[in-house]
Amino acid sequence: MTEASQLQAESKPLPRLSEPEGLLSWVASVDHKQIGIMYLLATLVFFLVGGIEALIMRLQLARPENSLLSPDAYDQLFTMHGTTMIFLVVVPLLIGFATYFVPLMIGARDMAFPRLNALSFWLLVFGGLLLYYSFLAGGAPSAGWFSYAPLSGATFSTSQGLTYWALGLLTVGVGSLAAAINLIVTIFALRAEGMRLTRVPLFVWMVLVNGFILLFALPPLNAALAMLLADRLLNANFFVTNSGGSAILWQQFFWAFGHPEVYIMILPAWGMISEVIPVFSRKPIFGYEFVAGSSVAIGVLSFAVYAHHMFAVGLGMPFNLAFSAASMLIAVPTGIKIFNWIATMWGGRIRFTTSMMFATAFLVLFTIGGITGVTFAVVPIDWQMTDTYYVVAHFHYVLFGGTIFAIFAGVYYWFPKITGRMLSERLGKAHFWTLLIGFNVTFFVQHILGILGMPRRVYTYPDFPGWGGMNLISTAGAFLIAAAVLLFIINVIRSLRSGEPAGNNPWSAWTLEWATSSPPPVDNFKLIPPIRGRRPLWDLAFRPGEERVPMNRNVNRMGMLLFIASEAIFFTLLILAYLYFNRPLGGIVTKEGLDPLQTGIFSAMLFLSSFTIWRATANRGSATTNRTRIWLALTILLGFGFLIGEGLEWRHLFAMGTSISASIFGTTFFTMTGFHGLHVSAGLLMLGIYFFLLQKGMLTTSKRGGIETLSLYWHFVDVVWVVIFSAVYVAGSLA
Amino acid sequence: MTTTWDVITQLWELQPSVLTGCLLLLAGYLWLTHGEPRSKSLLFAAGDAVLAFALVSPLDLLGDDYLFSAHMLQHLLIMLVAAPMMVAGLPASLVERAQQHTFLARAMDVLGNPVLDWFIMALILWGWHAPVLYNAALASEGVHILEHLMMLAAGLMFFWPILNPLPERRIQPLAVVPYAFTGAISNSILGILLTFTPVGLYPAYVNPTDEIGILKLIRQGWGLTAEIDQQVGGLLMWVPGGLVFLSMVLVGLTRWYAEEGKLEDEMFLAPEEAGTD
Repeated sequence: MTEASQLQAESKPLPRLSEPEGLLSWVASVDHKQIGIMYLLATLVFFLVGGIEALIMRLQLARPENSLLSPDAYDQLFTMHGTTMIFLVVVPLLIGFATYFVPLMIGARDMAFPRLNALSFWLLVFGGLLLYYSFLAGGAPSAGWFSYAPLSGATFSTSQGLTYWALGLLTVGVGSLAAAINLIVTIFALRAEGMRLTRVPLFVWMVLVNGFILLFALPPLNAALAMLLADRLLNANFFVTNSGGSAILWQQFFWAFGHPEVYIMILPAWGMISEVIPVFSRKPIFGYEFVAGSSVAIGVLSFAVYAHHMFAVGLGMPFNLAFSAASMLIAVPTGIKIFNWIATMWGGRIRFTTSMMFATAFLVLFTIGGITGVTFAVVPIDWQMTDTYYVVAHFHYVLFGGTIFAIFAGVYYWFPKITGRMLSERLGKAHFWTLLIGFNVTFFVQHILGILGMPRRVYTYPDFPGWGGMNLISTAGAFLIAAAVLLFIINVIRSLRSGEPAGNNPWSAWTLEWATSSPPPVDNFKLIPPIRGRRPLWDLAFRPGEERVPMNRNVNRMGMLLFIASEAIFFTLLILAYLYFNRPLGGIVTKEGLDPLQTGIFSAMLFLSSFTIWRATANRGSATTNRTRIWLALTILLGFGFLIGEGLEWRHLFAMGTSISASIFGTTFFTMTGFHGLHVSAGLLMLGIYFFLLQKGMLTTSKRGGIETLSLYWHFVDVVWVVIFSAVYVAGSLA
Repeated sequence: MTTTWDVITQLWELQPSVLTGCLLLLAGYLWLTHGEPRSKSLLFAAGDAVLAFALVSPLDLLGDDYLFSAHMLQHLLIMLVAAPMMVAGLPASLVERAQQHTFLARAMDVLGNPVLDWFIMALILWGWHAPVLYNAALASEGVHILEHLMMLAAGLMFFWPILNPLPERRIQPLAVVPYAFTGAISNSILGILLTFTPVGLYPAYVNPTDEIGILKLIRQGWGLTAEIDQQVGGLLMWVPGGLVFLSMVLVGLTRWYAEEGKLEDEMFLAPEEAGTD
């Protein structure tokens, strides 16, 4: 049987989709491919901006005692460079690739929630604009990309820059969270028949693991940002040591996010490498299970080792030793991967296309960055090297030599699929060599500068022997990098104008995205080939057919459960801050004048509403709409009752002089209960809308199922209150 | 008693009740299983030995009178090392036989409920660290024994749904992930709080009554001040304790992957050069 007729026989057609065209598509599109391209373009713009910031800094550092930049301008530039490259380039760039290719690779027509997908993208754009608006609002943030307290507090950072920084990151972060949920649900629920999770391309695996890391790592950042904003805007005391707060708390929360973030920035890049290397070695990946499994191990471990960023803080030797030992563990699964890739290339028929050259360079550069990383797990070395250029060199080897090189490998590999045209190999190779040389010239000497003791984040340096020369070399390298990026852009523009047509599968690859035309049609596939293994396009030519897999397709429920998991972490951290600052808890009720009885009564109303909404979901059939309506109305009333009770408690506390700025109790109490109240209000709003639509008869039977998803959220909000009530009122009543 | 060697060699308290209990446990096990299969028997015996070690070695005395960290290590050994080893050491045939017994089957159903087990673990973990209860356990030997028994029970119950010898009665492999991951979070948060709380929660460790004269050795020789002691205790729970829970996450994922893989019948017959070109 020929391939085409086999396709006809075994596949089923999909319904056609319509899509806004022309200029409108750049704003209104919900097509994952269009949004993916928009992600790539937006992050390219941010990449150029962040790159220019780096070039200006390198010019300032080109010679000792230079006076191109003021110290303050330099501080703003390195803060914006780091923030831009991490939050507006690397993370969203990888999300963009995932948005474009995950549905294609698993044989889906689009993401699970196409509109949410568009929202994620636009939140990125507006978060970025918010961050950059700070330049016009009196100065960009200047406390470094991790904005340590107390420097980031209102006392020391007097311009509005840090407020914009926190708001911008919150906006981008919410977008990333939505994207993570969307990708996870898509991968779990929308795979084509036969596309088991043990068969998905490794890129999809890595995106899946990455989604979970994002889901659990972003809430600590969001909690920390909410606290920073409370401190800056409402005079709260979270990080103000004089008022009973703790500056170290910021570091704990920030690195609980910041270390997993490192893996967020590298895992999908590993996924790309795991696609590129096998295709250009003409061999299946060596040890698929190990690559997939070790990325899960890394994801899990990444949450247990974050404190190695804090060796120099002075938390005590036991603390440092515990995390030093745990950090060494992470080198094991990482090392496994490197061997997998090398073993894949071993004995393969390697084709050194530009993409493969980038992938090969990635292996070398990432290994160097990984090894210097392991040296930081050794406490004395960390003490010696922390905040020197050795650190700068280390993470640029990981994030530039690692992630960015992997991304370029991915760009040269997938560009033909996205545009239908090939990039020029000649220009590509010029791009590769210029970048490789420029990168190493720039960053290798920084290892030595760091060992010599040159501190990072200082706008200039004295004329010590060798320092000026090495810095000049580094600056020259930076301009080579700029030239390389220029070559890349020229290559892209030339290819778009007059590139060679690519055809469906220019590399003879075997994953599903190559089964469709380049660029793919709006609905991705005319027909989806039957999937019986990890390389569908090979199987198509060489293997007989088989089975189907039943799959759970309740995407709303799954999306809501993931959202709840993430929210649970957010509240855990707010409650943890409350517990941490209000020791001993016993007696707090009398001391602060709380009223457990009154609040207990209103809490009971909230708990009761869990019962009523359960009744409302149980009565969902068309005949029982009336009963649903009654139970729903009761739920809404009880919810309002709870909010009123909470309001009474707040008024009582205000009358006694307790406020968010007056004491650390007020700071933690009002933030925690305030965010909970906000969630109750959001739940009431959603229930209200549902009730209204039901009343007007505007809900089709299929949409009535929405109440089940809503009720999950409502139960979650109740459970959070159970914990808060026990922590504040029950534990606080103990003698 | 002034050297570390003395502490290691002379502070063993071979309490008859503990030794008898552990020996009876092992004897009962051997009687019921006839020592078959051997690997499982060895695992169970090792778990039993860890339990005995935690209760009669110098850890016990140090934990009773001097060091929070020693006490923590003892608890972790009971809950997170001995308990899972003993659960994993039960042979499937034994549980199958018990399953035929109506009462035992019902008991296993009720006590093996994962939601219940998760909450029992959290409750025991958090509850016994509340200063009221913890200090009561230090003050009274009876309460202390109750504490250790409850911790052993909590450990057995928590690991039962994951390590149950009958694979079909375990929770779904993917359900192990949230079960153990949230367990890790609960455990880690308590560890974090203990690490960073200033000393004074458990006054007995701040000013121990130095009955056998080793306080000087501990404070000066080992450098364990009351602050460092509590920090070490909290960190033991946070990092190694957390890793035990996280390793269960990996157990769940590995099992799930193996199950998926069993369904996977594809062979890697990679053609030399293939594709659609």
